[in-house]
Amino acid sequence: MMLLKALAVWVLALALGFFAGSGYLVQMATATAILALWGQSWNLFSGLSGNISLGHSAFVATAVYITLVLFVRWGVPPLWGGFCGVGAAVALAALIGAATLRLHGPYFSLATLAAAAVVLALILHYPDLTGGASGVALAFTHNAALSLEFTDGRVYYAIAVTLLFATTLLVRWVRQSRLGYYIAAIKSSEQTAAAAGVHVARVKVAAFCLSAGLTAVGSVVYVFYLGFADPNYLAGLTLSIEIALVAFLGGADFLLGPLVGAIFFELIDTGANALVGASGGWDMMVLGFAVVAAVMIEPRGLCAMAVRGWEALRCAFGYGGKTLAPV
Amino acid sequence: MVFLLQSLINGLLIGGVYALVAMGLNLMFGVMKLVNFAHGEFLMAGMYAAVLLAGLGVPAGFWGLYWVALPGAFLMGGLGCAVYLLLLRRAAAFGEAAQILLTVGLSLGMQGAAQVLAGSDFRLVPNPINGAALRLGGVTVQIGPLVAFAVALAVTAAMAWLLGRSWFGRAARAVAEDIALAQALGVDARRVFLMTAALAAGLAGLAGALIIPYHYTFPNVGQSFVIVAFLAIVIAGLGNVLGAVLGGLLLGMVQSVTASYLDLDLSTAAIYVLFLAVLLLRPQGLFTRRARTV
Amino acid sequence: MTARFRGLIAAWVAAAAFLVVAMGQARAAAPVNVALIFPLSGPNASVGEQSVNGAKLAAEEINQAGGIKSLGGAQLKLIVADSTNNPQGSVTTTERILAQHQLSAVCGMGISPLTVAAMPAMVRHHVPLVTNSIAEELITPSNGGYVFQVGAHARQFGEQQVRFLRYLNTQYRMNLTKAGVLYINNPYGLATRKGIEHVTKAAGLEVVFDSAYPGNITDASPLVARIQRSGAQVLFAASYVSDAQLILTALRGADSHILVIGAGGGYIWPPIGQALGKRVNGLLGVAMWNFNSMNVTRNRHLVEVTRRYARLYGTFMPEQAGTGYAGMFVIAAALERAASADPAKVRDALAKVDIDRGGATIMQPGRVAFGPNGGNKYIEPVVVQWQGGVPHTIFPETLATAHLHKP
Repeated sequence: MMLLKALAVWVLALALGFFAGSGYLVQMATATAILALWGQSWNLFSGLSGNISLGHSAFVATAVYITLVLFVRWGVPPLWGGFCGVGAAVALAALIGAATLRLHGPYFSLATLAAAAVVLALILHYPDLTGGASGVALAFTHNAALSLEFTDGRVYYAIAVTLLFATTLLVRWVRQSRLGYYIAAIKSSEQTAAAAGVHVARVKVAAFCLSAGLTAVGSVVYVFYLGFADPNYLAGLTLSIEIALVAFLGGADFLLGPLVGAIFFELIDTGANALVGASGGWDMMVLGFAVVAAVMIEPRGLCAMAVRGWEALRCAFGYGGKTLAPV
Repeated sequence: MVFLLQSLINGLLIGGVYALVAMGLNLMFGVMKLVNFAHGEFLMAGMYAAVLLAGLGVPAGFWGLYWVALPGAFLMGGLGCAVYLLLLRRAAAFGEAAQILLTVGLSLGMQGAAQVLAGSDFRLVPNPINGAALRLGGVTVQIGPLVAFAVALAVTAAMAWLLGRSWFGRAARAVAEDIALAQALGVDARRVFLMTAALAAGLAGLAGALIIPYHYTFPNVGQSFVIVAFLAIVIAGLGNVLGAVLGGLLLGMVQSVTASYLDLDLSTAAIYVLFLAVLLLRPQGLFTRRARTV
Repeated sequence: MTARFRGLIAAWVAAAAFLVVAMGQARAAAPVNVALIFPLSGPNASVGEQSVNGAKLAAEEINQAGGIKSLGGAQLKLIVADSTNNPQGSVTTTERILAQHQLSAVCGMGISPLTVAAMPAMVRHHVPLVTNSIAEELITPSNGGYVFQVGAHARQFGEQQVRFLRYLNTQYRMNLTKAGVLYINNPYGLATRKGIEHVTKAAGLEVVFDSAYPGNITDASPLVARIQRSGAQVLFAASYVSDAQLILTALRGADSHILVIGAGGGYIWPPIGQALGKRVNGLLGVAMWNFNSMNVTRNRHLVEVTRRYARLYGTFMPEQAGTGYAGMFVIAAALERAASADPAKVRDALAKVDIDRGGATIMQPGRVAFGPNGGNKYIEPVVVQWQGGVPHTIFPETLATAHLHKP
């Protein structure tokens, strides 16, 4: 039933994109979908286990650069190179995950942050291979599915939305699977989970790798949609923070939290840019303080805010009493 | 040999500034358990405060600029109080995730606000300290960084006294150790938090005031300093305020020596690798015996 | 014919003429939309603001002089937007502006990665982009013919730095043979270095120091220590303002007498002059545009423009403002030639214009036309030296308005 509903929403989203026509709307929707996809993947590990990664841009950059280097230097079609990129990101996640197993709280966050910084430094230090700080530009004028080149932006939109749906369903499935329960147990207490027979190390690394792999899939699509790879952005702290931000902002305890967060983030970001962007600095200020306001009003995220509002409404009409459980 | 000495001195001097920033960051973490991503923005605000005060008039003389820059640091202490009362007081009850989100938002907002209020131009007050240097043998010591370093040492001594001997230090340690117990014993945790926020912001503002004679002010200036400070506090041990000073000095020297012998591009990677090594081999920090706070 | 009758005819003619003019005004051609998309927030905001200021000055002037004549005096309408400081933001903003407005052309970005990122969007929407960014990637066949670079490209900076050094060695017998290259690790720095590398051998220079550094450094003293140890006599440097100031100050502190030749950016923009005060005098740098190059100073109108800029914004007219100003005039000339606001026709006109009159001649050497990939065919970067608190053009001699003050 749930699957059927999701399928219906997916078809509706595709149809809306197809008929939206205007390049800008589709462009924005694609960016939002990919940001939501990143947030969703991030949430799979960090949101569920409570270990906050501030280094997911490391996986974005690894996947993108492996794919691009294979493509630009050796002509490997991005569709195949993409698999190598995703594989490399997963391998990196296994390495970081295994090394940082013992770390908790801010230690883990700062360790992931440093790992991303090392990836960035490496990309910048080998310009002959990676193009260095100049980035890689992919301007193309014809369609080639094997190279992920499409002149119509709606194709990227369709891919991004499909991936977002697939990821969301996967995360939903994981939450209800044994892995999900293990992760939840680890979040409340590692010692207790271990005592109950959960193989803490294996579960943590597996979830981290899964999260990195899904992030990487989105990244490969992203770079071909954008047509340009800028290392300082792709491997930078700003992107890592944005990814974590949308997941929290929507509500890490909710399945649709990252999607809601991504939509809110893009709306405020573009809205502020469109309305006050011409008079420098205002857009950044509005975005920053909007985030502050959202957290102060409801630290558990926008979804929690909506649930609370809905409860208040029901109470006002005399239907209150039953609490809505998070999805 | 002279070259090595020169690069160590360079590292030590910039390390003093990192130390000031890191001390405030670690104080806040130790007492309030809060990783403050907006900490660098207090340094930035301190620099702008100095530039604006200097716009009203700078006393004559070689040291003139410091007379207007240092009061700016006190203003930052006030700003820290305001941020605590408006935001952090309630955020103490939030989870770690919401706190990160809150301070990241605050950081963006403050950078935007700085640009709105003061414009995006790079600002520097022309002054005689900028570029002035002592030459001892073959070694050059710039005056501006030297003053910053000396003040950082003095402040470290003052902090050691404050945390070790004063009412505030005892209360802060008690709150950091077990807030419920401390409150049951009559420690006013709110007051401790308020003072912590003021001190942390004031230290960042002081760092800003000390680099103003030789460093440009722009809305994102805090970012370059605060990232190193983050690494420094982990290397020293989270919550270990005096260790943070050693962490700052160590990172300054590692950065300087790798930049002098290898490449400045690689020196960034070098401090991150050092950081990861410490994190993995000695997660409680180099200068902390066991997991402890303040 | 009586005098009265003659008067009547005169009055009738005058009235008719007035009516025609008034009617012309009444069906005043719809304004032509041109977007200015520049980074107006984040670390490069000052670059963006200068470009916008220059372009606005040009648009005002064009509109006051009667707009685009071949379009019935259509006025230019500017749409200013913030590209933010990351490529994703640049693409989103560009797409939004392209969707919301019927544009004839875009002038933009100033910062290379932002411009390269937005390039595919311009090609997709068939709207031409006139840019004052310097990346070489912008003027390759992949731009689909939609990008026109009004200033120099970064490699020309490096080449001009070395050419100038040869001039110093032959003209002033300075005999400088050991060079250091220090560049920010970004597209501008990398391309500049490529230009230097390209010509050092031919110039008989030995490169004894060659290093990139990450932007927004906190301390330049390790760099300076290495430069001193390398024994370099001349330093080719590519940096933005903040780093340039730290590097110059540390060099001075270390009592170094190395000759610094900056590659535009931080070494020639107004803030460095404000920060260093009198000590800035003597500093050398390459500029893609300077307000007192010969092509500007010999044109009374252009001199007035630069003075007006100084009155409005409180500094001399900087590089980015000059190229923004020129970009607007280039767009106006193309509109005039196309006699249409259709962006595809404006593109075709841009590819064909060859301008040696009007505001666009503010670009060196006083003439603008674009090559097959959209590069400015005539552009010649100049070497400037700070003298009396402002940069003066001192090289090449055809564009120089001052002599070198020997360091």
